[in-house]
Amino acid sequence: MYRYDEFDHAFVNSRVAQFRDQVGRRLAGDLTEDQFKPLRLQNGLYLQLHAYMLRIAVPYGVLSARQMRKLAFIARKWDRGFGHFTTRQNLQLNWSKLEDAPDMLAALAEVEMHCIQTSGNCIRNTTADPYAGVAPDEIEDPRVWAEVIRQWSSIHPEFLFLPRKFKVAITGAAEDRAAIAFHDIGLRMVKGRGENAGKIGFGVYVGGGQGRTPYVALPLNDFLPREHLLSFLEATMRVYNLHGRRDNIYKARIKILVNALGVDEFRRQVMAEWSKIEKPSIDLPASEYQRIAKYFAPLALAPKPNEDNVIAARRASDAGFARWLRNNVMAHKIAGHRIVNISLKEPGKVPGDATSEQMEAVAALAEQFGHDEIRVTYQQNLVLPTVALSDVGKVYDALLSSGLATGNTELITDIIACPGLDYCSLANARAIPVAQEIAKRFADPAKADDIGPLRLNISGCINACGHHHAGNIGILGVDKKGTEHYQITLGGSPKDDADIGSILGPSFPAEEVPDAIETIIGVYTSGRISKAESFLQTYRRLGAKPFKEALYGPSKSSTQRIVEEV
Amino acid sequence: MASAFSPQVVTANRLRVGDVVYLAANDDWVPELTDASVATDAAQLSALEAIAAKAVASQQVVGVYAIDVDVSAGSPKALSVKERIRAARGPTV
Repeated sequence: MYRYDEFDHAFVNSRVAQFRDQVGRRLAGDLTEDQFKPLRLQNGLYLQLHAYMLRIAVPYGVLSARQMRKLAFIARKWDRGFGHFTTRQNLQLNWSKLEDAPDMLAALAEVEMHCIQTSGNCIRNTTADPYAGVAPDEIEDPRVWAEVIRQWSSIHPEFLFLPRKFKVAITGAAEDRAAIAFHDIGLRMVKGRGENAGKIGFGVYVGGGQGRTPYVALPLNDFLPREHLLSFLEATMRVYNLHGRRDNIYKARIKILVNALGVDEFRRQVMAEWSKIEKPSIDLPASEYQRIAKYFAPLALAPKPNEDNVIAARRASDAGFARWLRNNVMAHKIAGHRIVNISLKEPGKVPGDATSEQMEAVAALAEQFGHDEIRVTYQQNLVLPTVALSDVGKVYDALLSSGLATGNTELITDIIACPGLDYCSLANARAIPVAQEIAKRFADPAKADDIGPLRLNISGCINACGHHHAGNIGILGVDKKGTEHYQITLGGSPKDDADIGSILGPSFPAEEVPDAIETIIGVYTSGRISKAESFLQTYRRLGAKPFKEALYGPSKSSTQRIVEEV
Repeated sequence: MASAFSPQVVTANRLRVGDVVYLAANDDWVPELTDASVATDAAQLSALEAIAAKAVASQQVVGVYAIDVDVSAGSPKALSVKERIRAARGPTV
């Protein structure tokens, strides 16, 4: 992984010292809250429902064991001994104190971490495929470019005060595991065709996003030579910075601009801007690319047999292990190795939460069996990207003893949920307890296995931090005359077939949501052609009608009911 | 005709540590909503807000606002879900 150079260390340490001084001046009364608030937000410190919340950047979701141990230490010493992994592959500590924040940042700086640009109208942490560098379907490791973007976008003087926040995601694989279609800019590494045959570049997508106006990103550039990534991003950002709306926060994201102009006109303006840019002054020199790429050099792994008799025997005799192996352990690009997903979604627990002890357990596994690498996924889970097949059983046993061996990756209980009204001052409704009740309803592993791959996402408000628009089943918490209600959408997808879910009908009170989900699942399991047909495939084949009728009855259309409800 | 005034209390977070607090008698900031001073008319609310403004200026609290409460049972109880969760000083899970 990337290691800070002298400049990086000096910069991050100077920001810690600067923030320590700012906090001191705030506590002494030399700064008002109006003056101080933008400064604390620039360092990831929010004031939430119960306390301050510190959002820690995990660049493109990559952590070393040392960094994970430090996160555990910080959570234990200055917070309440746990943290919440987010859909931006970051970590949030929900019980921070302003007076402790400078010390927390100083501790992070010791392990080359910080909270810079985890808030504000700037370019946020770039998210990436959590299997980057190890996936068998990968064209090129996107971490190198994610790091390039991190360095380019950090305190970029032009882009620190954009019309609104800006999110970039990148994948280098054939399968999109980074939800690039739901980002302001999505980057997919592609092989060139025709005149670009033999080259690797980027497919660039723009204007995706969730929130109150969800859009799937549109193609901006089918093949961008990779050496021009930064100048092209710069041109795109300049067009957005110039024309993005600053008069209305709800219309300020780039998706609104792209869809107002039309993607063809937006592209024309980007190309015009790009043509004016002196590219060598912005694009990364090949030597610098090579310097950064060395940090992400593939591990020197010797291929091994892809079968292991001990693993095979245990799979036959231990149903829990077999399930975990089937759902959480993925193929690795080097034979005899595996990608191990660590679920933070034990039914009944808070999705995405990990205790300090669990963080330390994962760090220990990364050190002992995982080549010191950990990834955070946007689905709020963790990954050990490289484990020898022969060690997989030992990893499972250790995870089991830490309460981390739930074998439910990509199943109905692998629920994305934002903090919701239990923590977040923006939320309209709670997300966590609804997620817990649904997960408990489907806690029987055989039931979840029978349902098969299914994304169920919950957001506590229209800002959609829980990615409800992209869920095969999405749940949105709304405030209905002072009570928490939940609107259900079906048909969303965050993957290559990206789509936005459609509202099924009137909302439900919290206590009725698990029943509603069970009804929806019943329509799916009775209507699927075979177990090989996923929930999303069945929904797309059947349409919404049978699901609506099962939930609301055939006598009235859901439109009528919505009108009556209003 | 003026609309009826809903009973309100003034809440904030302690600046240093972020804890949820409510303005109570003797200009104290207390953690329990049930101990808060209740404004039953606009003048009382203005008086509480003036006290709160001084507490903001002296770096005691941050993020001051008034919330509607139900006082039918005697001590104030938050009306909104959000304020009930805040008053519980922790998540419901």
